[in-house]
Amino acid sequence: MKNNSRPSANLNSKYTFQAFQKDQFWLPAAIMALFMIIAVFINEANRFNTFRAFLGFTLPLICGGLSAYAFLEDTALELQFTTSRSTWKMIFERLSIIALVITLTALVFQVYAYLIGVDLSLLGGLLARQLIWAAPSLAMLAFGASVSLLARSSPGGFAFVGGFWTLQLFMRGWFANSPVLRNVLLFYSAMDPNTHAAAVNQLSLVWIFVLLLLATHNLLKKTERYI
Amino acid sequence: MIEIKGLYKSYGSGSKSVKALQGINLSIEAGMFGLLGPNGAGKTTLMRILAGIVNPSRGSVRVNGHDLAVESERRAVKSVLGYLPQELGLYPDLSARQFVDYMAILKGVDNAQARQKRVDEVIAMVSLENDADRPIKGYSGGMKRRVGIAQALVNDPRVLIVDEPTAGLDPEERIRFRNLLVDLASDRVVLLSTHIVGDIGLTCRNMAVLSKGRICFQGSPLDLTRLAEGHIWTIVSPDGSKPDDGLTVVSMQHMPAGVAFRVVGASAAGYPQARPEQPSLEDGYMWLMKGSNGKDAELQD
Repeated sequence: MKNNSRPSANLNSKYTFQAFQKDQFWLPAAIMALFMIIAVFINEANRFNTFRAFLGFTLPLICGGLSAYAFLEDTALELQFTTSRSTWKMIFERLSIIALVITLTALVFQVYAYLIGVDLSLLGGLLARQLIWAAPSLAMLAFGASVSLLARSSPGGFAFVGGFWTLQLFMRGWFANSPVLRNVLLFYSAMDPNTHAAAVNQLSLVWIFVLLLLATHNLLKKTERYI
Repeated sequence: MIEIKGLYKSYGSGSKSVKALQGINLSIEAGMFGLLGPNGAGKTTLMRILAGIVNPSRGSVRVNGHDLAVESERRAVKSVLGYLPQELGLYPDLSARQFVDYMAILKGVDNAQARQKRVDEVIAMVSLENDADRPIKGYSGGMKRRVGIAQALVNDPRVLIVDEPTAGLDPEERIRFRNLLVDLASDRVVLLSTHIVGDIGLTCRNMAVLSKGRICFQGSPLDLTRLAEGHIWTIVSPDGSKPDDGLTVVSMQHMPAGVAFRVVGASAAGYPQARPEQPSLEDGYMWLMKGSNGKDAELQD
């Protein structure tokens, strides 16, 4: 049956989302739902930790995992590479969707915390609290993208992301005690919020994001590696 | 409009290195140009280099005067390029209209009204008007191929590169598509890469044959046909035994008197009953490949 709906505007983000990143919406939503259920059933003393675990620990992992699948799972990648669009624009289109989904997830989760009466002020003020998940998520966004391109494989990139995250999780104490290494610890500002060291850690993670974004750009330009 | 000089391409390094292209020199003017060769000859590598997605190891490629080695010039080439890859990937959840519109946006057709008009035009060119709003996942192989052709045409490219475009099309669609390409070639470069000899003979004024990464022939289809003059025979074998003595069987037909073999080779002196034949383009290609490979080539289609 023919319908008469016609494309009428510059909707490439919508098409990018529709074309192959649609599934990326469900993973964060499903994990968030799981944490929401846990938060209801867990005793009140541990509720805050459940919310901190999701925002400061789990969201960066989800972000890195999604970005590992942002480029190479594209069935029309060869055609995409033949267009005159710049590499930066392609990176922006793919990663901005993930950043948006992660942001929405974080905000919805915080609204839920408010609704069930969990006080998140221990993580800082409204703005400072956003940096606890945003800075490590940004770092993992660029990390997932760059390692998947380096490995020329989305599952390979995801394995790197998972491995790196797990390593940091188990060795977080060791990282946190090192004045240098704590600056690359994804969870540092969730573990020790509202401190100068946390602010330095967040700044450092943003710099890592920038550097890995440049690496992503350089890797993506080498189109023949991926077709 | 396309100038290729001393083009080399290798994949890998050291002992595992594969030489895909070895010193290609080609000059391609406006019109239909056919690139013929067996599987693995390097056609797709050459197409991908021309499309700006694979970098040459050595040599230069200029399209409309733009050097593909320079990033900014490569983008200028891409803006006037239409490309249909051999292995076409589409987005199954989009409709044909959405897919072609998406590709138009990516190719920089920013004016929404002009883009919508052009999308409608190319959808009509490939006769998909009645199915254009259905998701691609419900399409047949031939319909998907037509979507690929539509997206290649949506930016009205000055250089159209089509790699094995008629694969998966039924005979009627193939004819329609060949005619469309010839029509488009009136004012632009259309580079048709295929291993189907018939498609080249029916459409191209000029052509080249690529074998093992090298150009082993460049000229018109008629020139290639003429190469085989005096080298084609029909040999009827009453007992059906296959002719040998360095002859390659191009085709065979069972007849009441035995099996008629159409053969290509240097000499049929060992077969007094051999009847000389006028060569076809396919014969010319076979004769060329015999010389090029030193062994029989396989023809497809």
